[in-house]
Amino acid sequence: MPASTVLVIPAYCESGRVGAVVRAVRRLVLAGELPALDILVVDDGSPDGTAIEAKAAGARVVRHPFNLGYGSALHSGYCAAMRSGYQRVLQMDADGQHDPIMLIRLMHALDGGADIALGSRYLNGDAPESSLARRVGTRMFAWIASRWIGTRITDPTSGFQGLSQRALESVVNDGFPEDFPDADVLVQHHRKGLVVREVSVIMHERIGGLSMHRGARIAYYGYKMLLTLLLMPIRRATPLRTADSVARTS
Amino acid sequence: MINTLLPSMPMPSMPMTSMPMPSMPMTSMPMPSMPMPSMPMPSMPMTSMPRPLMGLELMDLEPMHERQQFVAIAGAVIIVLLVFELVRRRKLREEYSWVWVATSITIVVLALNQSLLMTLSSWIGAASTASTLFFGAIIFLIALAVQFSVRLSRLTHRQRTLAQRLALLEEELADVRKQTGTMRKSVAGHQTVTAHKAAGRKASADEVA
Repeated sequence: MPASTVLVIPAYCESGRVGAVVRAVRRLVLAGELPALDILVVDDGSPDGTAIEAKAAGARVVRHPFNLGYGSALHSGYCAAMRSGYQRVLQMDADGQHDPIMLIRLMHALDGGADIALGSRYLNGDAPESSLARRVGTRMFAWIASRWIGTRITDPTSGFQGLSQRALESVVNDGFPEDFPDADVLVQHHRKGLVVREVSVIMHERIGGLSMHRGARIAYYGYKMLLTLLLMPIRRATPLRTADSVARTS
Repeated sequence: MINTLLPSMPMPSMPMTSMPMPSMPMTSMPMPSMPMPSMPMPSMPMTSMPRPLMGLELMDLEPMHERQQFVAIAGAVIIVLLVFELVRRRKLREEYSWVWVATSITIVVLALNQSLLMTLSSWIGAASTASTLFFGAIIFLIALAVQFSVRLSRLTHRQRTLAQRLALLEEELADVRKQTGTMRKSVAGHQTVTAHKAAGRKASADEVA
C-alpha cells in the first residue's frame, strides 16, 4: 500500500547532511517507530551533490533548475505532494537540526484534528543558542502571531511542521511566501479557519552549512514580516499563483 | 520681461545678499537693475520673513534662455533617435519605446512653448523654468523605475513558477522514463528475437531456392 504521508525536506547545499537525514528517517520507518511515509527532497538548485546524495539515500528528488529560496522549495514540495495525492505532509530541515523521531508528535497532533502542527523548540524551555537579533525577532513575531491567532505560539519560524490535507490545499492554491514563510503563513491559515497547534519538539544545533537567517537578511526578514502582517487584512489574494498554478497537472 | 513683472509684486523684506537669484545663465540678457530700493519696505526684521509663495511666479520666472532651449531639444531628439535605433536593431521592444518618445515630445513642446512652461513652473512653484524641466525629468525617471519594479516583480513571479513546474515535470518525466524504460527494454528484446527469427527464415528460404 502506498504511504498516505509524505515528508518534504527542502535542501540547499546540504551535501554531507541530507543523506544522513533521509537515512535516519528511513531507519525509523523500517524499525516501525514511525508509520510508513515517503520522503521527498526538494533540492533548491544546489551546486553541490545534494540531489545525488538524497537520491542515493532513497528519497524522491525534485530539483529546481536554480536557487529559488526556502519558501519556493517548500511550495514545490507541497505541489508535488498534492499532485501525487498525499493525505498529509510533514516537513523538516535537511541540516540535521530536527530530530526525525519527533515526527511522530507532529503526526499525533494532525491525527488529533490540527491542520497545522507546529514543532516548537521553545515550548519546553531548552532551546539551542541563537543570536540576539534572532531571539528578539522570534519573540516579536511569536507575540504578533499569538495575538492574531488567539493561541500561544512560541516558535513561528519553525520549519518542523505537519500539514493536514486542508492545509496542504490552502498553501498550494492560496499563495505562499517565496522567501521565508513564517508567522504570516500561520496567520493566513488562521484566517482560513484552519487549526494551528504547537507541539513541543527537541532541536539540535545545525551540524554545518549555512543558516537562512544571517547578516543583513535578518533586517530584511524583520521588515518583510512586519509589512506582510500589516497588509494581510487588506491584501489581495495572489491572482498569479492561481492563474498559473504550479500544482496544476494538466 | 522682469521689469514688467517685478513692480506689481509686494517684495518680501529681504536683503539683496540673502535672496537666491534665479538661475540665470551667464550669457543671458543683462540683468536689469532691480528696482529694489524704491519698493515699500515693511518695518519687519529683514531676514525672518518668509518669501510669499504667490510672489514666486512673478519674481523669479523668466523664459528659458535660447541655449537652454537648444540643449533641451537636442537632448530630446537624441533620445528619440537612440530609441528608434534600438527598436530598429530589435534591442528594445516597441512597448517600452513609447514612454521615451512621449517624454521627448513633451520636452520639445515645453521648450518651444515658453508660456506653457512658465505656467507650469508657477503651478509647481519652481524657481526657474529650467528646473521645471529637470523636475519633470526626475518625476519621469521615478515613474519609470516604479514601473520597472512592478514588471520585475511579475517576471520574477513567472520565472519562479516556471522553474517550479519544470522541476516537477522533470521529476515526473524521470519517473515515467524509469517505468517505460524497463518496458522498452523488454520490447526491444522481443524485437531482436523476432528479427533473428525472420533472418533465419530468410536464410532457410534461400537454401530452398
